[in-house]
Amino acid sequence: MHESRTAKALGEIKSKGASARLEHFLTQIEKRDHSLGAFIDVFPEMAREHAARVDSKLKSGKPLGALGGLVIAIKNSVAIKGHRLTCGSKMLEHYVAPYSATAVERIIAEDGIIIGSTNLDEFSCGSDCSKSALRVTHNPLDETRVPGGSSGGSAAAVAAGFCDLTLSEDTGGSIREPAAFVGAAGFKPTYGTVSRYGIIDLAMSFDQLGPLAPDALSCAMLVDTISGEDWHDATTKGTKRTEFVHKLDSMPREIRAGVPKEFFSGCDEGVADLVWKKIKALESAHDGFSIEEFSLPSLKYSLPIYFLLAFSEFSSAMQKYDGLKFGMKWEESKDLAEAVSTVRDRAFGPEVKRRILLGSYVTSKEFRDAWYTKALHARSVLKKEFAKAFANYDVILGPTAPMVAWKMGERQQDPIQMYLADVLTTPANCAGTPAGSVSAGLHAKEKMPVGLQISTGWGNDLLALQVMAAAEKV
Amino acid sequence: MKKETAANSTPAPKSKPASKPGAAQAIDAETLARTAEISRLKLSDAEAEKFGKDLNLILDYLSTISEVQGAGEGELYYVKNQNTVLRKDEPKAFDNTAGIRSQFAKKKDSGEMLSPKSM
Repeated sequence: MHESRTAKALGEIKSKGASARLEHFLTQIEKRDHSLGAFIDVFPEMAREHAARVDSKLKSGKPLGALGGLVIAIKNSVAIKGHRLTCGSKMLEHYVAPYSATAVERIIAEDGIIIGSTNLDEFSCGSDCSKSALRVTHNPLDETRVPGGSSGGSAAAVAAGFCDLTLSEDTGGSIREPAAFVGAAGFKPTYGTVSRYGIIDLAMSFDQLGPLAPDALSCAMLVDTISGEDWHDATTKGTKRTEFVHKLDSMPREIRAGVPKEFFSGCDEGVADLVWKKIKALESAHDGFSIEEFSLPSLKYSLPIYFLLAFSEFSSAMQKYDGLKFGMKWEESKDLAEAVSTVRDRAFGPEVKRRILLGSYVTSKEFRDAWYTKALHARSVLKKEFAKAFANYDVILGPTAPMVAWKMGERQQDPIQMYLADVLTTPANCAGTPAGSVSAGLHAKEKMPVGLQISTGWGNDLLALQVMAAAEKV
Repeated sequence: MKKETAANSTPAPKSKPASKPGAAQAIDAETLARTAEISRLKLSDAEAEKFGKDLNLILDYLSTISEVQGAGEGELYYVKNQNTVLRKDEPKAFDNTAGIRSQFAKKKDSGEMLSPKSM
């Protein structure tokens, strides 16, 4: 009988108590995080307060909230009132959040125990967590390798057993790719399902909060907790709070799964083999589960669409970091422009500067029609093609990333090589549709995890989570 | 000490130009300098050379976008279809303005933010 790590954790909370479990996690962090670099900050005092509240409820027989005392780490692009919100950048190194994100408030209200904030590539600009200005994160399964990114700290925290699950953020695959690289589960809900209030916006039409966690059960628990309408974020208007946990094991009998040929173009052979093996296992284990290969021609344009639009939105979002309102102090200069430029030069890392420059270029008056507007049209084409595909198939399956976690230091010289890590995850962000990743097993040669990506149509988040849960059991 | 480059003397990138989508042109030294200026970024000589090469390389890769036949399609800014939602005009006081003021890089004793002279 399959029992997930989260099911075991919930049992432990009842038998050992939340405080005892929390101390175990804090000890593990103390022992190992100096070499892993998963956390930016750990909050023992706040976490102990939360745990004591959970234990008090347990003792008095009061029902626990939806998260039932699970220990949760939060990506450091999400605001927790009174704690540093660095986004992995020198620009915000000393910035303290004056309020909490809606998702964080909901986690606390539902008896989640917040243990700390996790590392990320600076302003989420990266796919391996090597670009944080504060510390580098290593993969707990092999410390000579990267944990993926940008939510590499969250992935490392889950894989190292520093927490039960994490709240992370996915703009172009930042939850799913690192989840795949450490053998965890990750889920990006439909755009607009979760309030973005209190997250540092990177590309507002792509950003979405979601879980990076050990399994589909904890993913469903977190989505159920943080989803729903929030008056602070208009994209959530009309969104109801989800109720996925109790439906997780009720996958529909008949499922038509499509496997786009384009997902395997340029994919590592060992990755492709494992993913196909997992897909076939799903088909064998479920009578009504049918698979069919098909073609989705626009997939090859998803990375150009994503980067052109995400760079554009990013350069706009970065304008507010001028050294006046946030942390890093400006020095006396001849004028305001000089002061702002000096601070930004000193505080931003190379990848952030590269993306700001590209975004400014493709949206400038002379070039916007050729690049930015063209990408907006192409995004329409991709979204329509995706909708058409989901009219034929309930779920689309393929690899999460075309490779396994690479060695630290690789893919640093050529930015295209780094960007290609997102080639299979960006389509869901471009279309706004839900997508998750679960482990398909260990690569035969590299001995590192490979991710199976499960995508469904707009608003069909439950089915994606159900197929994730089913895939974990085969 | 990092050597700053004046906007009009940024060295020319040596990589091949990115010019596929429509009338897009390569990012030459002048364009890079202008882009850096509007981005409020100073670039050293070394950064200008590196970014010039990188940006042309990246744009060359992204230029496959020109193959998409999407001229008849709308410009998709938001993936979620919804009308503008207006909430009731009920002011709500933020409870931690002091927390925001305390983050200002430089401030007067009275709490107002200080900025460099602009005139």
